[in-house]
Amino acid sequence: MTAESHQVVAEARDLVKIFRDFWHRPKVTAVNSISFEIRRGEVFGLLGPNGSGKSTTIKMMLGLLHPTSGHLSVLDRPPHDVKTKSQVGYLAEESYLYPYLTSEETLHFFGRLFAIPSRERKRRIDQLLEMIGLEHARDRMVGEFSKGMARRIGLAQALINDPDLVILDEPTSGLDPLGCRQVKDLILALAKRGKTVLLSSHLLGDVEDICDRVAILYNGRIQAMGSMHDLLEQRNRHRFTLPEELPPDQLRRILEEVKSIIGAEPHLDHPRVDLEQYFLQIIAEARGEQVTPSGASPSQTLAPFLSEHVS
Amino acid sequence: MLYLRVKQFLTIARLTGLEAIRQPLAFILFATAVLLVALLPLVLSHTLGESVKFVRDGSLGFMFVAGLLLSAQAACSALSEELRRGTASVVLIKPIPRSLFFLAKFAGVAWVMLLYCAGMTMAILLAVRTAYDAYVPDWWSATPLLAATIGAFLIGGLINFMGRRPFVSNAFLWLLILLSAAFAFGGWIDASGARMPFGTLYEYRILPVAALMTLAILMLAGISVALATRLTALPTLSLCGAVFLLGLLSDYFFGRHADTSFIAQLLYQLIPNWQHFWVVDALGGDGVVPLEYLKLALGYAAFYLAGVLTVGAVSFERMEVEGS
Repeated sequence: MTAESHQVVAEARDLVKIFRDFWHRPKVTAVNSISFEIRRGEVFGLLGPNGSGKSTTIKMMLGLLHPTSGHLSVLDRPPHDVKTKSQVGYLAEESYLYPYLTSEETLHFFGRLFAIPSRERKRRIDQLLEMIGLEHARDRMVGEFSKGMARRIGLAQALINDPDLVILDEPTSGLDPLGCRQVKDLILALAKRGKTVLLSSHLLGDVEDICDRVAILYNGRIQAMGSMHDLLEQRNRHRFTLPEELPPDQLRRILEEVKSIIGAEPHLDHPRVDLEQYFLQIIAEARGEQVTPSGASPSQTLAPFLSEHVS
Repeated sequence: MLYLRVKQFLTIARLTGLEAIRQPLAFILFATAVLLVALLPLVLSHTLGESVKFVRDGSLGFMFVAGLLLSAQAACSALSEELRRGTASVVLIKPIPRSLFFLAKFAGVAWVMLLYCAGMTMAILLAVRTAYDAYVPDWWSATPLLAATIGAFLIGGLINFMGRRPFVSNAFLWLLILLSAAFAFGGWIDASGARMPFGTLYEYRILPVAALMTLAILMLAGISVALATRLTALPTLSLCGAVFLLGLLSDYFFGRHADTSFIAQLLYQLIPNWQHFWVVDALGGDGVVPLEYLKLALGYAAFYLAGVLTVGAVSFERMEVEGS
C-alpha cells in the first residue's frame, strides 16, 4: 500500500438513513449506524443481499438521499456539493439513459454538463467509444441497445469527466463474460492510475477478483470489513503446490511422509482453473480460428485521456 | 462559472425540449389540433355569415385545450417520468445545482409550448382566412394547411425509413416548418390565386388573443413542472386538470365570495383565473384587445410564473431522488 493510498477519499461515521412514511413516521431503517473509510487508489467493495443498504449508502454518497444522522464526506466535502460532484463518476444499477439519444449524443450531453470544450469532448468520446467497443454503434439510439450495450454506454458516461472517484453499482450486470472481464480489467487499470473505485455487486467472484477491501452489509449494518486477504485467508490451514507433475510412486511417498508427520490423512486433488478463465481461453482460441464475434468488441486498453491527469 | 451554468442550463433545456417533442402524445395533440383547425372552415360553411366567428372561436378553443394538455404532458415527461425512470438522478449527480436543473426543465417545456403556439397561431390565421366567404372555402389557404399536416406525417415517415431517425420529433418539427411555409404561401396568394401584398387577408386582431393564450399555457406549464417535482404523472395530470377547471370557473366559485370569506379570497388569488386570458369575445365586431390589457396580463403571468417556479425550485432543492 502506498502513502497515497492512506489519503481518505470518502468517509462515513455512524451513518443512519431512516425512510419515513407520508406522516413522517419511521418506516424502515435502511442504513443503521455504519462507519467506513475509502482510501485513494483502492477498489472498495460493498457486498450484501438485496435490501441490505448498499444502494442507499451509494445514493447518500452521491447526494441524492440525505442521511438521517451521522457524518458523510466525499472528497473532503459534503456529497451534495457541486464541487464534489465534478470529481465523481457514477454508473447506476440500471442504465438510466435517454432512450431517444444516440450513444454519441448521450456522451456529448453528459460532457456538456461538465463544460468540457468541444474538441476535447469529441476526443474523449472517440476514445471512450473505442474502449467500450461501441464505435460502430455511435449513431444508434440508446433505447435500441441490449442491456449489455446500454451498460457500456453507462460506463462511458461515468468516465467522461475523468473522475477521481468512480462509483459503480453492479457494473457487470447484463454483460457477457467477455464484457465482465473487460470491465474488471478496466476497474483495475483505473485503480492503478490512482483513481478510487467504489463497487457494489452481488457477484462475489467479481468482487473477489478486483477489490482490495470489502464491507459486507446485512440489514443496514456492516457485518464484516477488511482486505480480501484478511477476510478470506484460513490461517489454520495450509496448501502445498508442486512445481511439476510427479510420478504416482513419488506422490504416494510424499503423502505417506506427510501422514507420518501430522498423523492424519492429507487431502490431495488437482488444481482447477475457474470457469471464467476457461471460458476466456476457449474464446481466445476461437478468435484465433477467426470465429466471427457478435455484439461489442471492446478495446483492450484504457481510454488514453483517463491516464493523462492522475491526481 | 457563469459560462458553465449557462451551458448546463442550455444543455438540459435543449434536451428537455427534444425529449418532449419525441413523445408520441405531443405530436398527436399538435397534429390533431392543426387538423381540426384546418377542417373547421370546411365543415362550417353555410352558417349565415357567422362562419368566421365560429372558426375563430372554435380554433382558438382547440389551441387552448390542446395546449394545456400538451404542457401538462410535457411537464410530466420532463420531470415526473425522469424522476421515476431514474434518468433525472443520473443528471443530478453531475455538478448541477438543483434549482438550475428545475428551471432548465421548465425552459425546455416552455420552448416546446412556444413552438406549438406559434404553429397553431399560423394555422388559425390560415383557417380564418379560409372561412371569409361563407359559401365557398378559400382553397388557396385551406389546401396548404391540410397539406402541411399530411406532409409532416409523410416526411417524418420518410426520414424514419431512410435515415432511421425518430419519426415523432421529425414529424413535429416538419409540421412547424410546413405550417410556416403554408403561412408564407397564403400570405402572398389571394383567393383567386393571384399575387398580393403579403398578409393582406390575415386577421391580425387574433394575434393578441393567441398571445394571451400562450401566456396561459406557459403558466400551466409552470404549475405542471412544479407539481411534477413531487407527484407522479397521473396525479400531476389530474391536478393540472383541476387547476384548469377551477381557474375557468374561478370568478363563479371564489370571486363572488372573496369579500366575505378569507378562504375564498385566498383561493381566488392562488388559482390562476383563465378568464383573464380567454378574451375571444373582445374580437366581436371590429373589436381589438387593447395594448394596456396585454401589458397587464403579461405582468400577471410573469408574476404568477415567478411565484410558482420559486416554490417548485425550493421544493426540489431538498427533495430526495431515489430513482426506480
